[in-house]
Amino acid sequence: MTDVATSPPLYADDQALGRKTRIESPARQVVRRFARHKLAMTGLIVLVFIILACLLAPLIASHDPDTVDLLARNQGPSREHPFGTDRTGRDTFARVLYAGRVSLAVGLGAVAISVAVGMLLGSIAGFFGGRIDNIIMRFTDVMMTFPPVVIILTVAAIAGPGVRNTMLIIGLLNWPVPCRLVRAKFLTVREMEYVSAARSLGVPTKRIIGRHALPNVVDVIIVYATLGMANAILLEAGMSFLGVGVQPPTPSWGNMLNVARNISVLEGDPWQWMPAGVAIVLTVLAVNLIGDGLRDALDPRMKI
Amino acid sequence: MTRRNRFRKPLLFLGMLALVASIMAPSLALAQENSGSGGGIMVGGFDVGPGGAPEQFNPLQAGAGFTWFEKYFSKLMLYDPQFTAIQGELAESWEINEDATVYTIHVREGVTWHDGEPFTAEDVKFTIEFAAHPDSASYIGAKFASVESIETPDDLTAVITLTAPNATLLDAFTFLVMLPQHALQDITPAEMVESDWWRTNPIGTGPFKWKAYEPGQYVELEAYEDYWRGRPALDGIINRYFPEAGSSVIALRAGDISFTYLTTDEALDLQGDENFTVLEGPSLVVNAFGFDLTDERFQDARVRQAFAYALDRQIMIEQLFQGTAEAVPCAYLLPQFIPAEVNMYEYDVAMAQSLLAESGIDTSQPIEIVTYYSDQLSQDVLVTVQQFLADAGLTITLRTTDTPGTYNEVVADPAQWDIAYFGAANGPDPDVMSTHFQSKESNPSVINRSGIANPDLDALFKQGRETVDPTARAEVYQQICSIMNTELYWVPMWVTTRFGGVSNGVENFIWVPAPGGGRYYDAAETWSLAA
Amino acid sequence: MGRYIIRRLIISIPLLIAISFFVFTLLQFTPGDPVDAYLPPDALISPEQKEAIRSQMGLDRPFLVRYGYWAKEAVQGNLGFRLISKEPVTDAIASRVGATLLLMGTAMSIGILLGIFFGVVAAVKQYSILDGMLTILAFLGLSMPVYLAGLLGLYFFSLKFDWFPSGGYSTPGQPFSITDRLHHLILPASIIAVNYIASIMRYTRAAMLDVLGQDYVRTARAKGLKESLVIGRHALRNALIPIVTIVGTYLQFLLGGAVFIESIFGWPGLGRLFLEGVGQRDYPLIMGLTLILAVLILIANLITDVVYAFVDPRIRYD
Repeated sequence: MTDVATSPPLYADDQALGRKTRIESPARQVVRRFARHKLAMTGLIVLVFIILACLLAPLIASHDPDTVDLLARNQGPSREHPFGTDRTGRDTFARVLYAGRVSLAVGLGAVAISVAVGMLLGSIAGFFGGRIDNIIMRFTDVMMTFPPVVIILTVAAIAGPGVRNTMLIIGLLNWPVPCRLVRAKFLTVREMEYVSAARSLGVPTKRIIGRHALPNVVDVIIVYATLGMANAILLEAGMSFLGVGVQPPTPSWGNMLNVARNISVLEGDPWQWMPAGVAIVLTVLAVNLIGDGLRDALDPRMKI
Repeated sequence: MTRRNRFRKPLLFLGMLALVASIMAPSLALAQENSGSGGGIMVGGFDVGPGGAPEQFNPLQAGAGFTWFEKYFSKLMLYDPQFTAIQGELAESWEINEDATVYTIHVREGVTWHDGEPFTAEDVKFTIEFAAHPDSASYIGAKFASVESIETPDDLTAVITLTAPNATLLDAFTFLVMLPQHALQDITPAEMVESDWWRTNPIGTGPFKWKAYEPGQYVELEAYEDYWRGRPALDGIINRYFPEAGSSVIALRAGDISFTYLTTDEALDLQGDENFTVLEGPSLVVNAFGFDLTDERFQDARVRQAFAYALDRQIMIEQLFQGTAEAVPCAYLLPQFIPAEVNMYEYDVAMAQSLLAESGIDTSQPIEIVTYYSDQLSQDVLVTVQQFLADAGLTITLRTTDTPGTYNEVVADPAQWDIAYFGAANGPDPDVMSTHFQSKESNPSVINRSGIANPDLDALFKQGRETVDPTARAEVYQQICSIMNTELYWVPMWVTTRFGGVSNGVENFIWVPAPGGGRYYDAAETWSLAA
Repeated sequence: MGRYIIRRLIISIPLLIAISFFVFTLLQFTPGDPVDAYLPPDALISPEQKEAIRSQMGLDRPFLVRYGYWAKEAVQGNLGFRLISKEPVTDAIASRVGATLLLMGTAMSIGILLGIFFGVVAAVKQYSILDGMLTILAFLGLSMPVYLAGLLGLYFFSLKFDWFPSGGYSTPGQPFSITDRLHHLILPASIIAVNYIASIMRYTRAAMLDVLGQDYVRTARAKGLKESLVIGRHALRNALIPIVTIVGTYLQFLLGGAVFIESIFGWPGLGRLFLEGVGQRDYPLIMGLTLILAVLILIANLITDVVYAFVDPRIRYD
């Protein structure tokens, strides 16, 4: 969230120090620390379960998600339809699974876009500093100025709704955050002795960025990416509410949840919106917990 | 220190409890107030749903919201609630000459504006001229474009002479609210468009007069003591705004408002509830699929017929609408305009498939259906239609535009759309369809998005406009309906039922759905709250 | 410092021009026309009538001319009129700004107070069951789509339990009273607050853990200071610095409002006004709102940076 450069670690935890006599690669260390984070591991298991269920949807669901059957509409859960059927008689269970593919793809795609754009601009700004930095940062200020709804509504109106555009809009909405994170990290890295040494030795800029600077931002970006994905899934739901997200009949968790706006459905047919609602909450919760665990695991000051 | 703390905590808790209690108190107090003696103030969501125009205050420019406008403004005439006949409102009676070029209107005596000034024929003349002035930018005013002159031989008579015969002028009067000449004569129509008069102190002759407008919240009106039909039974009436339609249903059921528009599901839910009455009526809007006839694929009538045969309208009406819609054979829905013999295109998927095969249409090419209807039921309809057409062999994609404005822009350009799902408001004057079905060559100002060019239709619409005798006129439109039914430039689906819910605490309440709301006499002066 | 502020202010001018021009251009490419937006799709209107309305709204003039005209007037404080209601844009914004500030201000206050409180509790009891529960609750709060929370909140607390009115800003037709306003405020503000509680709690917890591991806290403990004093006096005070920055970044939402909650609760705020403006393609309104928002956010950014320089002597602006 902030672009406040965190001060470099001053000391390591005693306990951890004691154990660190055995040499261990930093990556392994993170994995070990993460594995000890109970909530994060729970999140990971839940997320893996959800992803598998969505990927294996054709095997798990016995119905086609798009087949309309007007004579079987608004049914409650049954053996035939574990989550009941929707207003046109489509199998809610199958739809939730297939919707998950769309929503997860939107989340992943959006994060990939915002990370790519954010890292590019953030590293340029942070590494070169000066006027370039000033221009890019003021530009991010502008981007962060706009209420998301304006960007969402106008861009969606221009580009038209759809899975790909939803992904693009969310991605382009969120890049200022990783951009600021990367820039802040670069600013500190730039001042480090080994980088100035490399520079004075005439190492090309490209190589300095690639070899020395970028590896340093990986942890910040990983944490952002998880939280950003959670945010993207929620934004997709919000866009459905505004009518500019993934369009029916393509199911997404967001547009499936949208039927809850009809008070009759909200009240009388909870199985039509609750599965999608629970899926969103569970996924976002799991991703958030993982992000939280990663942050702790990547921060050597935290004792886990 | 610890002791003090222990003492303080329950005190704090009690304090918060008291605060909460005092905050909850107003709702209790209000409930008692309302159940008191007669009179009272009715709160409703009068601008919820398709007939509403929330926070639009210029009735010359509004395309909807007439239910509410008619609470403080009046018109010369209105329909009866069944939309079968036009009856006098501020006009007591009128005469039309034989070729419908001279209208003589006798206005009611003893009607006063909310500021006490008498209402006269001069106001009628002023209003028509004011509205028809191009600077008013009023599509309602444009209905009076053919007015040549208005004479006022005395205070109660207005004689309107037209440049060409026009049998639709009475219908136009049901759109036009009367405006006070004495208050507005020094303002130009252009200034009036930007004036805050409309939302600060509009003066009408309706049963209620303006009291207050709270932006984003509500408008409050109070009873007009000198209303010509007598003082309204209610002391006041409030129109509350609901940006999210579902919230209005919660407000109705929670007892915070007494009336709102309901979706079909909500109406069916409330039907058994003893505290509410569900009001219903035909929407007067025909839903249809219109083809872009500049697209070669749809120039073949067999493709259009195949589309019609592929859809099982009956099962959609039974299931999706729970029987609350009625199939129509053409763009008209009133029985007098529908000929005895029409093809209802009963569901026949084999017929659809063979017609498609005969036409030689490339079925691999996807066809996009665009709509502005974003409500759940319409979306359900489209998904079902997609399935039916897939069964017939057509690949359909769906697109819902984010606003009606976007939809209009899409369908204005033939390159951007294939088929559109929309609603076409029926008049009740049948001439309204001329703008959709008359060719651009015969009248460049028609909408006609499908690009229909049929000389027979052009001639019939012209004949219809010039025929005054109702029976002869209806026959002309039956012929039009018959052509629509065979040619299927539009595949007509149904006219739906729209619903309103009113709390049983309101007596004598009349509401029927109409496109744009209102335009019928709803006797608002007799509405009252039960003691 | 003075020169720094002046320079930032000067940079802001081209920035504001860029923002407004960007939005103006975006709106040009947005499909849908305000003329269409205020007529129902089945309204019967001929192309000429429509053109007349367009020219009366000034929509037929060339793009740059319109922007130039808008900018010239905006500099003089005239943001134009709403296209449909013809209400001055400044009036429309002025009449909504109070409601948004009240709603968001209350939500944020609740969020900050409870967020810090729960964050401290979670940090002090790190890895206890209480900490775990608070963490899960916080993330649950962050995981719920806000409009679903709004709908469910309205449904349960207004309709089923009848504790609160069904949305709105005050009881229509009743004279203003503080209790009535509070009665309408609590439910939407609490629902928005959940998000702030959750995220501030997470930041507070992290910041507190950071501080609790510092030497001076150990020293304080070693001196035998009471635990409540250690936490209240030493730890929390230092942990607050990063929290203040986080809260600073939330300030921009103070005016943007909560679009979903304002819509669902019929709260007459700026977020909802914005949504209406976009739906009606009310260009002057969208432009005016964006400009005012941009000005306020640039000022807020500047203040944050300046305050930051005072708080943290390591930062120097020149």
